Amino acid sequence: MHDPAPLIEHLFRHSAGQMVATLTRIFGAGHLELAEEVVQEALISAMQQWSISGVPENPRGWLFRVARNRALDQLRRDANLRSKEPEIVATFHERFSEDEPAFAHELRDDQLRMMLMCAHPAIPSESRIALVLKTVGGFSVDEIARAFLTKKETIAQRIVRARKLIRDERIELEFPSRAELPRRLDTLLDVLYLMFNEGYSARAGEELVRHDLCTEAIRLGRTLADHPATSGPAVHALLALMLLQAARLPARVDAAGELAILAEQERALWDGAMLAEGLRMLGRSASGERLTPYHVEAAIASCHAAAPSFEETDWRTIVAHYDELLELKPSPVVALNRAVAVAMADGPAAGIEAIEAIASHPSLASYLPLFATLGELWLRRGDSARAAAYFTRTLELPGSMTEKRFLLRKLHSLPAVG
Amino acid sequence: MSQFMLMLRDSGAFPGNISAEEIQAIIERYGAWVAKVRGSGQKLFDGEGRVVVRKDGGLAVTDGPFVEAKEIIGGYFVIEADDYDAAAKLVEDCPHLDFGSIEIRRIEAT
Repeated sequence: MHDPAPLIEHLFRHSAGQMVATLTRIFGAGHLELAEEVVQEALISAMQQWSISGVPENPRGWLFRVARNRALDQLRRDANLRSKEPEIVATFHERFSEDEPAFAHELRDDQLRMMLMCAHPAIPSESRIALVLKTVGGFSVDEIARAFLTKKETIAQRIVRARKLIRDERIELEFPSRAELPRRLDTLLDVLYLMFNEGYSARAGEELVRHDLCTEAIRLGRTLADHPATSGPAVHALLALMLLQAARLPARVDAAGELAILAEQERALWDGAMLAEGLRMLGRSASGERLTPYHVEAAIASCHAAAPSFEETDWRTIVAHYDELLELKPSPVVALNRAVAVAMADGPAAGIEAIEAIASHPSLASYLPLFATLGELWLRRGDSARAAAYFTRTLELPGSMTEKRFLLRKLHSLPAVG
Repeated sequence: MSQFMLMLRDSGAFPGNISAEEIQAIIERYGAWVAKVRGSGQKLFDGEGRVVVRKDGGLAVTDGPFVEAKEIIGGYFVIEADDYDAAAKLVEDCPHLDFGSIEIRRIEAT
């Protein structure tokens, strides 16, 4: 029995995204669910068939042909859609000919429209990421739920709610107007940023890093960067940030599955090509009239990427970037990260002082990195007792198991407190 | 007994693919551009295209992929030894020495 699953997960994801986008375009945004169902059926059919007869020579062509046929079946059943039959046949023939999709640009355009639609202001923010991952990314509800440590039902509900809104508000799968596009794009960038962040450092669960979320965020970022209507300095800046951070993913978790902090990471494992691309993308982003938080965060990331060794990291420049970021994006999370940079530049006492200014902010009450940072800084100041108290607190807070194990080891390494 | 902090250092050069000169050029270009944008009196825009207005207490809080809190903190191993030489002896066999050096710092009591 031939198991196609490991070979084609990638193919399914991207094909699913493309097919859903195109079918939605044809059926109309109000029929998003129908589009998804048709695609889902095609994928299931593929899994079943290919396990028996093996993966066909042109798997994409196979998928698209099956999706088309099922779409046509659906059409014939629905009086409202019957008139669209010729359009479907033509479009599928156009987009998804059995040999190779002839119209790569149209395919990409459909996906772009889908992404931009998911960023429509009427769609609630908690639904946006789920919708993008499902419709464009081809993630299943299960996978999304796992990624965000939420219940499957919650994710399903968010998607259902979003689809209903699309129908009720008669949102269409069209490029936003010229006036509307910048705002829509900014929302979409925010979605990709959050998606990437979740993959970069998962808030809970067994693993610290979810590569597939990071990879998807980068892929969608590239889609935006490649299209003249959506490309621009802010997109380049976000892409630079994601590439620079993602380059280190192979080294973030060591062979035993344990967290490796920057100072310990095997730099040989950093993805050099990704780092180079990220740096060049930063260069490209330095244009236009808008300095966005993505620019500054990418600049900070570049300081880390460009340091020949951990000890040669230019902390003062990083602090200066954080000062700027605080102006653009005043947030206790930013202030916390700045405090770490201050501690590295000026010593733990300075860092502690910087943190104390924001430590009581309610949003940080359960923020594991705050307590881990305080623990670390007090340790460096020589107060093990205080450090131990903070590290103990981290074990109770939401965080990935990898982080918890790391912090537990730290705790055990402290001398016994009398 | 004192506490000594071991900091594992890299001896590596920058992982290929891009020259130091090019990196420098990019950094300079970026810096020049920022100076231009800020210097021209342009208002600063936040992520959603709105002009930033400082409001006390009105902080938007989102997490983000920042290195400092997530990748920097905690990379130090703390050991106990009688003195500096004893600490150095303890780390002699550390495999990291194949890749880089280990810095030993005494943790000062406050």
